[in-house]
Amino acid sequence: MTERGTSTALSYVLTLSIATLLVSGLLFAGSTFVEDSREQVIRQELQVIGEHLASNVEQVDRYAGAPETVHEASLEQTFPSRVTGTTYDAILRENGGDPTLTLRATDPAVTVEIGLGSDVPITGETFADGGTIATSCEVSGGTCDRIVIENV
Amino acid sequence: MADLRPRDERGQILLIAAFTLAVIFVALALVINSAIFTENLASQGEVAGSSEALTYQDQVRQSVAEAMAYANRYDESSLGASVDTIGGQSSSQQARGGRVIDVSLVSTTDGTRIADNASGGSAFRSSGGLSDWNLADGVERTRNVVVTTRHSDLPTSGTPFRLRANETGTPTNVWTMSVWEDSDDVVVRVNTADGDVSECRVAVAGAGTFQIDVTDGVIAGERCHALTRDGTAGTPMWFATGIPSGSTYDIEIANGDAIGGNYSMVVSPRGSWNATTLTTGSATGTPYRTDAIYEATVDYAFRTSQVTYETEIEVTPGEAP
Repeated sequence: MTERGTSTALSYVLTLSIATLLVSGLLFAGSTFVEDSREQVIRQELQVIGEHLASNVEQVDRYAGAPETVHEASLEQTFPSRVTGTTYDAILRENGGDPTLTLRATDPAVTVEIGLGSDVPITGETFADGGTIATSCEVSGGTCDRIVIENV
Repeated sequence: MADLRPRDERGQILLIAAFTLAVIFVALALVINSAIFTENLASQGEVAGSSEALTYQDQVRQSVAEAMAYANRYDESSLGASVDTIGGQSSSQQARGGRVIDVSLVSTTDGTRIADNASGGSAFRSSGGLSDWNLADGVERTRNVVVTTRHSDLPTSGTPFRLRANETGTPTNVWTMSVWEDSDDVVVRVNTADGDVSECRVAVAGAGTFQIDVTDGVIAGERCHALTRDGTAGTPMWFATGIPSGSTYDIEIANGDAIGGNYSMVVSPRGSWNATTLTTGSATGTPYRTDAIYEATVDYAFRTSQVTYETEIEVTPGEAP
């Protein structure tokens, strides 16, 4: 009978530690799962937004190519300002003759790249944050010199 | 087993775990919600009205081309008023869909219509009766070259009817179209300046009239590859291909006696018609020339809340590219 207390204390410590181990394992797995899904969803959402934006860029290019003289060509579209709780920005860059649209989410860092047709007139780099993004032509002398994106 | 603590003070770990798990589930719900929103965004089409801007531009181009045909036929000065009418009607139609359209005439390029439209058709002679003659000198651009004829009025392969575009000052640089009949077929052969030859045959049934649309490359409603494709290289080709850009050319008819029917074309600049072989105005039975509009430049603006598009359209119906 004098040894019963010891046994109780040991089993208490054991129960507690096993429970803590199981619970923390569960929490760890759960939060990792959520974090992974979030990253995946952000990637998907950036992909979708990027495709929309790229199709706008190509549509503006078609506008510029259709007639003989273009005065003005621009398209506006409203995108979500945040994707799954994080902000993002879109960068349209020349990329050495292989025009690319890059979308970057800040936290977690997710980057999606979408290639554009190589004949789309893009020079240098322009960027816009999430929200309403205008895709337009910088016109000089009746031709579309450069397609840019900006927030409006 | 004895309790070491009172019963209501136990289970904190489970409680904390339950709370944290609950938070994780809420976060998961938010993430899934975002995924659903993404699917929704992905199923949306392009920006509303963005393709209508181009579709409508083409409609305006066609309408202005019709107005031009009318103006050339009846009254050259009516084009401005017609374009304003097209603009007014377009904007009231499109306003219902929340779109604003503005169409206005910017400028026109003068040209000359050369035609022989004797009723019932006639041989393609000059007004002085020549069979081999010259319609125009120093032409820069030509559109709507159309020959209307009948199978029974076509020459045989021995004396084909020829239409030529010769570079002014360099007559060896020439684009030639030859036309003759071979049993039921109409044969069109094109020789280009660089020695390529292409030929097409179109079966024309019946004794009725049919059209050879030289600039569109269509014979009796059927496409003739010889008028649109180079026979050797297969590259695009059309009326007067091979005349260097920037040079002018002369338009000539050879063996005009051998064919019967009507023809017409519009050339630019206005002074390029030949004063000795053509009469002025529409004298019957002889080739004549009248003033015509060669090209109209129209300002076209299309606006919605999301689309802004403003361009100048150059309307030259029936001009080869």
